Amino acid sequence: MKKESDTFPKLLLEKYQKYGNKKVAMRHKKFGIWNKYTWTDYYENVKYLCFGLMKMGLKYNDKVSIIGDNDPRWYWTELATQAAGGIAVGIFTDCTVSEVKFYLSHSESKFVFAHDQEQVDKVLEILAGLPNIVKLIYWDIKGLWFYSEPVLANIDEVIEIGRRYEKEYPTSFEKIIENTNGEDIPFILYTSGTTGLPKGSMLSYNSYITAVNSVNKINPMDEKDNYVSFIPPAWSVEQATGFVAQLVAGTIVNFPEKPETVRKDLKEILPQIITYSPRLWEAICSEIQAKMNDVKGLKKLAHRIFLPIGRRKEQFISNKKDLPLFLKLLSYIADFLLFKGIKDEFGLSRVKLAYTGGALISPDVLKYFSTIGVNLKNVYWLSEFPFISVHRNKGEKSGTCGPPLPHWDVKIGDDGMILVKGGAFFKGYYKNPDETAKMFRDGWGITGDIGSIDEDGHLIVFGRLSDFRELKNGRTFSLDYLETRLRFSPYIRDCIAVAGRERDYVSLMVNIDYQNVGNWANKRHIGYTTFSDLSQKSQVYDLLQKEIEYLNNNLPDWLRIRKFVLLHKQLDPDEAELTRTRKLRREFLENRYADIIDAIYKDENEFMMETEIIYQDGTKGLSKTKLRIKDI
Amino acid sequence: MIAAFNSSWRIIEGLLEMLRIESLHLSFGGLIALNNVSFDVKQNELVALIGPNGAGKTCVLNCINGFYRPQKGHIYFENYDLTKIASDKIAQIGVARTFQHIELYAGLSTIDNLMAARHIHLHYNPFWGMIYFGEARKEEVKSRKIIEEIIDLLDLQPIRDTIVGVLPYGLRKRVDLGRALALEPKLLILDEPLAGMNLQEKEEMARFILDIFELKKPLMILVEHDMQVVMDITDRIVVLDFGSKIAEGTPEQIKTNSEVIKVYLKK
Repeated sequence: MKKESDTFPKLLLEKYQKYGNKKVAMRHKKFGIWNKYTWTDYYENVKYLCFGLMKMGLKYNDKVSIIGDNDPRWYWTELATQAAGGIAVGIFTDCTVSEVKFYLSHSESKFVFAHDQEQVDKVLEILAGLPNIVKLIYWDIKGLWFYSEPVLANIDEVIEIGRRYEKEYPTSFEKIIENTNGEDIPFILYTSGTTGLPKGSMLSYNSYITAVNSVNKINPMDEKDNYVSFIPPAWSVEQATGFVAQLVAGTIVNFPEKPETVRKDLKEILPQIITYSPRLWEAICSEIQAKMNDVKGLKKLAHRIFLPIGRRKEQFISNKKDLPLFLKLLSYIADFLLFKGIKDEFGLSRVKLAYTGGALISPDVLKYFSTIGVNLKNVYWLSEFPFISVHRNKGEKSGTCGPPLPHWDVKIGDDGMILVKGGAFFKGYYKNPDETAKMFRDGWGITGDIGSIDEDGHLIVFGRLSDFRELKNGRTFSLDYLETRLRFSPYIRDCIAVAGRERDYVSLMVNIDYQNVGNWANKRHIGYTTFSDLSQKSQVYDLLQKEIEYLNNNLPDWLRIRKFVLLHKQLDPDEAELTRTRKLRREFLENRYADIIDAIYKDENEFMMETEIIYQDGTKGLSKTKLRIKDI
Repeated sequence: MIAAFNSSWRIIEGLLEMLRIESLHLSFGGLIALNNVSFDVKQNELVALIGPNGAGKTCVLNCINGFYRPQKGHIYFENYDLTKIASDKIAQIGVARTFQHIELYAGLSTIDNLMAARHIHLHYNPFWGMIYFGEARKEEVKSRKIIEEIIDLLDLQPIRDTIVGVLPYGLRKRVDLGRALALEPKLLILDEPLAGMNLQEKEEMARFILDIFELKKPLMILVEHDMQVVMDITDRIVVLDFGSKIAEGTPEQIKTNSEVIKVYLKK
């Protein structure tokens, strides 16, 4: 009986033997044309890259860091590393030099693959402090033509070295792959770092393959399905739903030309499988709503007539009732005349599996997409415990994360903590046994989230324990709960809810959505110059007040937001205010904006914010903005 | 005979030095725009032409392009004296330029603007062009390949199909640079490519200029007011004031040149 493939290189070999040159594995848009790579191309590039790295000294358990945008060469590099028994480490391309230095030194990387000149420059700047690094390999030569550092190499050179080395190597590539072990670690994926420094999470091949197989049995992928690789490959969700899912199911992965062309490229591919972060789904939802609010004439009429039909259909589906014939017919018309156009615009018209995961998403956002015919499936996922639960096809229920997957046991602890045990367990944090120990309780994995299981067996996640706050009246609630619901508004990009034992009420610091609020202001001939100027307009305060009041109307009195302030600048991951996956660094933000929070709770009406700005040439300046604090 | 020999020798020298401007004199009636201006541009050398407003920088460029005919002097490039050739022929020889005020077709997309600039390299007749077959197709495909490489070099992919008229100013400047590159020039003249840009746009544009210089290796003349950029990226600087050349040298030499400091940098 043929042994099941228990590592990613074995899965690659299996697919190569099955499909060869007969099936496309990947497409990459370059120079305006979609270039195809068959499974043979995929396999051979991985093989030669693997041999090239081994010739340069890659050994078992050596770490190879990859800093790049979504590109076939990321996937080749990762598999080549794993085939040689090495461990891949993903780094986000928008990391600062100091962040890159942390990841490279903490992981003790021996090789670094850097996409282009920008990433190469970051590594060269810190190379002197990284004596482990043997080679810095790039794949986009633009701007690097005259770099002469001996540590540098082009990926094509490494492949050529590998091609020659294969001839002298005593073992075949198939044998090398055979020696990979399901309990080995394929990659170290660093957590977001919402609290403290990021931690390097390690899972085995078996864990990931078990998790993805589990999802594939419930929401099957087809080998003809297209997936667009867009979210950063350094993120664990992309690794599972893009990289590993392709190896498991044989799907086709499409790489857009550039991050800025994703929208257009999505429309050309119209993928069947799509995974976005909650922030991205929220941003799309905001954009659709904002545009719908601004249209006139027939479009406005279509929106007014067909959106309620979509909502009605969504209610029937979520209550698991069959649609009456009349509603079915109206839904087809609504889809043809309105929703299809919206879905086409965002490349969603052929989607059969649309996932969101990695953080909480507002139930209103899920409902909105369901209304227009895109059934978002919430995935409850942690870097340490992948695919804990997911909505099944036609079983989506907003406000939940679906039933737990069969490879997990899930229970709710006495303190409301979601605890897990099962076949996709993580092996710990790299070089961090203390933090690893904190993740377990009596043999159960601690997720850090508070939740419950409803009558249908769906897991409900209320939020991170660390995001729960108690008010002076002794009542406890999740800050995330309020924030995700507020982000449903097209005018709110981000918000930070503030509360605490010493406080009587909840207040809010808001980041407006610059584009949508700007468009709103333009239509009303409200002049503004910068983000800071726009955010402090009284009309914008009135607009945001209405949005917050809408949420307040659905909250108990003690939880209602009483005051808010519009921040004068956008939250920025480069300033450590957000993680690279755009989650709030709450503790950092509460410290940074402590003076504003003080002013709110001292019942002041305004606050003079002074911010030090460091320009790109190193000179410093001081920006002063008067922030209004508004009562609701 | 000696004069003819000198002229021929200068043409040969022109081949070696690539662009030689000699004793250029241009006047409009009683107004002297250029007075005996001479300098050259060699291979692998990025030359900047600076000076206060009205110094005559754009007049020099217009003389190179053939838009103005100087009353005296010569401009030797390849084996031609550009002062004696029509401006369309000068473009065919391999001289391309960006303009202070962007000269693009505002109603066409980025890709169409760049393809339009390829016209001097397209030689098929109207019949093949009409049915898009044979030579017409081959040449169009070849041109499209070259244009896509320029789009890749200048990161224009996100605006490939966008109508140029709706683009922000900084991006239109970049498209204008792409249009100049589409001509596959041997001499590239950049007339204030950074004008009106913010710091980030300037840094990006400076990077593109250096990429072009390193990869394509054309002769380059840069007319620019941003002294920081000029000092950072150029190899040699020629300084004009009221139509006359007052200094020439490396950035370090120009920074400390008393004439330049008096006339230009302290204004």
